[in-house]
Amino acid sequence: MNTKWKIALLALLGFSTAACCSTKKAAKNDDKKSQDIVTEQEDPRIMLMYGVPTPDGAIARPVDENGKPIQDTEAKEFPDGSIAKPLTDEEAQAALDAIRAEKEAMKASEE
Amino acid sequence: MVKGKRLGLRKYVGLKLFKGIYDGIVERHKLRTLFWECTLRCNLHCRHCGSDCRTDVAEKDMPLEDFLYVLDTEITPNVNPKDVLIIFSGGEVLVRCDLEEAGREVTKRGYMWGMVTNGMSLTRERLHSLVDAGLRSVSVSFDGFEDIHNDIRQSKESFTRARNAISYIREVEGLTYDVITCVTPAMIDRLEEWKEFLISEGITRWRIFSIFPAGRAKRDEALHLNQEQFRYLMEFIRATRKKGRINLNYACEGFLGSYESEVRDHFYMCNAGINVASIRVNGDISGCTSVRANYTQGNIYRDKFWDVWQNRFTKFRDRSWTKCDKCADCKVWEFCRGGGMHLRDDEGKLMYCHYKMLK
Repeated sequence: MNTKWKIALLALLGFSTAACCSTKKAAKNDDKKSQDIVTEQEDPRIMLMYGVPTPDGAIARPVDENGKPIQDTEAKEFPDGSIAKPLTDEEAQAALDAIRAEKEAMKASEE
Repeated sequence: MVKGKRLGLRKYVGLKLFKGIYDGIVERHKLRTLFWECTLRCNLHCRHCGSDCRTDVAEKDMPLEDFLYVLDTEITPNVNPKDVLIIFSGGEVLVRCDLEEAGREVTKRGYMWGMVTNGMSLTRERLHSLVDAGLRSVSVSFDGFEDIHNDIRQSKESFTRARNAISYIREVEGLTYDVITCVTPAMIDRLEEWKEFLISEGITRWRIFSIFPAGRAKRDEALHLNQEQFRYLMEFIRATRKKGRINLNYACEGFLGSYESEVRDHFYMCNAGINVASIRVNGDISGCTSVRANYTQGNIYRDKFWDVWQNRFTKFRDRSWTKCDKCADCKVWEFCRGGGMHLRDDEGKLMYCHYKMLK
């Protein structure tokens, strides 16, 4: 029996999340402006005892109490290519808004 | 209903199916997580330290250029960097002054990186500078209320510093984090209260582990849970996960019988040497950094990392050698495969069985 069948059967038994992981990745379109979220099946990266959680944000950037990026910090180009530097504050804010919207959409779909 | 060792048909079939999936993962042994034990120095002297870290250690920090040389010549040509998470571990990583430089260098090469810290020296400014260097994920040890945390950490300031560190981390949008609690007998009756405290602090991800007999923890029996306490811990995690107010996971420690899939997001598996490798402070190549016994597979100053990763690690990938002693007649060995590699001593003997703790 191949892996896909096993995963399907596990899902039927109610173990879909326990058996494998799908990671959400932010990927850039060709025009390098808008962002899409794609889901990719991979060998699971489990939470290791001395490890850290798998990064799930497309960007990490210090923000002030109103959620506005702090001016004197530098934005990085991350491996998934989701954010390119240099960023304007507006671009960084838009990226953060997109993450928030995605999280809210996921939460709504779970409910 | 209190659960225990008995699996039940649905879980048994699920574990059987997962076993086949796991075999494929072992066969592929795709490198997904790389620990760099960049220092063994530490600014604390915790009672439960599995690494036996000290403020003054004989082993010097590995020079950053040595790690980068291995990354550039052995690892990057053989992996897609975006698929590999590099974790800086210690000791306490923040004692290294060149952590930002290390972060920038691995980010430049396309890797994600994260770190585990006790939070003692994490100021808001240092955190921002690490985020600027590409930090994507961080875990902070937070072992309980002030009296308990400070007692375990043997420092009067450690609770306040860890709490401050978490609050700074929460200010950074998009930075993935969790807090790790090592549950000891002193905390077991206060877990509900502790959970409420964490939720009130705005913490959304929480990881729990219990003591395993390695390093200083081996000699301090007051830190070890008994069977009843261990069972209570499993019930607590299960109930908390059902309520869903905080994302709680038990660490990857051992097979948990009927609690499988209910106290963690995944079925039990030990990924040490399967998709997790580590480069130790002295250059040793091994599986997960939690494996403290001598299962070293090579050394970066002597061997080619990629050759070691591809062609050695037999003890990690074929665990049939663990089916002896206590495990010889165990009915669940096919799912457990002898427990985590970190639970084996230098002679290969099992030091602690989570499944047996469920009585």
